Amino acid sequence: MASALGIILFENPSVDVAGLTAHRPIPAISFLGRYRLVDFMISNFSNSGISHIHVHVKEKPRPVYEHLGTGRHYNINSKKGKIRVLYGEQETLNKVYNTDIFSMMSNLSFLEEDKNEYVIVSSSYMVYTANFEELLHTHIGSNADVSIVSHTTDQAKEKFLHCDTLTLDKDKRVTGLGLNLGKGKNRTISLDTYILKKSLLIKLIKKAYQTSSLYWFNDIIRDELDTLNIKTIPYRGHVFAINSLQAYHQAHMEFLNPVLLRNLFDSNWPILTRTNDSEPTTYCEKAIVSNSIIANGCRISGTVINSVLGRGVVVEEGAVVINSILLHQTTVKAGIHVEHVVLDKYSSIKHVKELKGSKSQPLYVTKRDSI
Amino acid sequence: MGVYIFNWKLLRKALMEDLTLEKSNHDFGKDIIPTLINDGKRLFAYRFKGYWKDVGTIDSLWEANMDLLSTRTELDLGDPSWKIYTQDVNAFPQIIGESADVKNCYVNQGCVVLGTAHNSVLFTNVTIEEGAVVKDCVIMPDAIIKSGARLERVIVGPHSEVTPDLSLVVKENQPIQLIANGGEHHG
Repeated sequence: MASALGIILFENPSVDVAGLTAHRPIPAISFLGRYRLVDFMISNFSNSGISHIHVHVKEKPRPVYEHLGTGRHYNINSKKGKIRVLYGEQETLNKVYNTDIFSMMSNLSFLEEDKNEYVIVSSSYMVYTANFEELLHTHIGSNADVSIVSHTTDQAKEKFLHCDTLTLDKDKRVTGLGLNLGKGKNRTISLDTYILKKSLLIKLIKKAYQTSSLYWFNDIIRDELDTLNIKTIPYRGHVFAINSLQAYHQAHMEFLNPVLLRNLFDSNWPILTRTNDSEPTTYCEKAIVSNSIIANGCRISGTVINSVLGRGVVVEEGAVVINSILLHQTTVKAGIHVEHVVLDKYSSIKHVKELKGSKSQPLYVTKRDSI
Repeated sequence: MGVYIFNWKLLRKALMEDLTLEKSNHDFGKDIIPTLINDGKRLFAYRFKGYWKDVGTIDSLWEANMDLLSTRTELDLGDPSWKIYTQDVNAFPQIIGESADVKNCYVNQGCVVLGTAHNSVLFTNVTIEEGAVVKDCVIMPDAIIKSGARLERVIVGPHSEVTPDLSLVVKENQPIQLIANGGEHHG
């Protein structure tokens, strides 16, 4: 059992999955048909034996409360462990003051009373699977004050845009914290995951809050690079930073790769989520479905290629769905062709003949919209 | 249909009396109900309209599953006002492969279909490998149909593995076949 508290912070303002985030915060965004983004990090915690979890929510906490519930579906025993949804409840006059530091400061007592010696600070828009028990051991063995989990990529021009980048010296010590603006292709990306002692976290939060009410957690880390021993722990698996609509669409398309899926859906590392007792999916006589991920409760009479369907999606006869993400309870009526679109919950495409976005600019249809 | 509603006092009396009869089968349909009729009690039938199926044989179990594909109007498992609850295991969504062909099927979460499935019901976590063909089949949870296997009019039991070379095609007038090699550790 890892003796750490798991913290999921909310993302800074550069993360905006346009459209989807108008209706729910990042952790509650649907992903891969039956999940929500927060499921991946909570599964990482739960599968690593971490049963005390704080989830900080910037705004619209309702969908997060509903989805997380008591945490029972994440194998969090509510008598021994606990998932807490925390919220900067004190009123902020201006959104710019609603930082992760402010939220942790507002809820400091929950942090202080926690019995774990270590904390793992993470965020929900970074999707990857990792054993935090192992990472915690690596951290303890390294004598670092803070370890930042990082991922080295040669695709930084297209991916991980606006994510934090790390500059390292030869001992893997972090000497600089920058921003990926897509200028070069080789970058070491911060996974926004920090491992440190709880006592140090509390110190850093207080220091950040005193420095400036606009400070985020990564700002105080940047300030401390010279004074603290901050190292990196490299992560070599697949990482998806869901920080824009394009990245959201792109991640789904990449998941339609059988090897990646097999890695993700490893039965030793289940991705846990709230289940729903939906009926199975009906594939009708004229259905043509290929290379797609489909949740339960759908009814498919048309063609679905390279797409991801959430629960209860209806694709009528003669309709064609390509390279698209159809969320919960959406409908594409007979004969309509959609390509590179993201249909938000309960929307339906009824009247237009064709709806097309592109790989770089997927078309988003808002919640409950009817076109 | 084997569903009765009794007045408690009357039922208790009838059961106690039946218990003393040596020749009785102690069966509702054979003993209790006929005795009550003979005694002149007031018995009424409720005429049930809707889907009803006794699934006590392999053939009728298969038929009931096939009914899910054809008579959706009578038995609607997706009716939000009348959900059928079950153990909803933590499975991943369905993955339908590049060369898959899925038609007229009822498929549950966790299935990986890379081959052909026609007119079939696939339970949780079923795998149909590339090149495998199932038609008019009922494939129960966690079964694997290996590449190259061909099944028609077959029920495959939970956790069973159908080997690549197996071809089991049951003709229309023949009884449905059952493959169950998944062991007994899973219900």
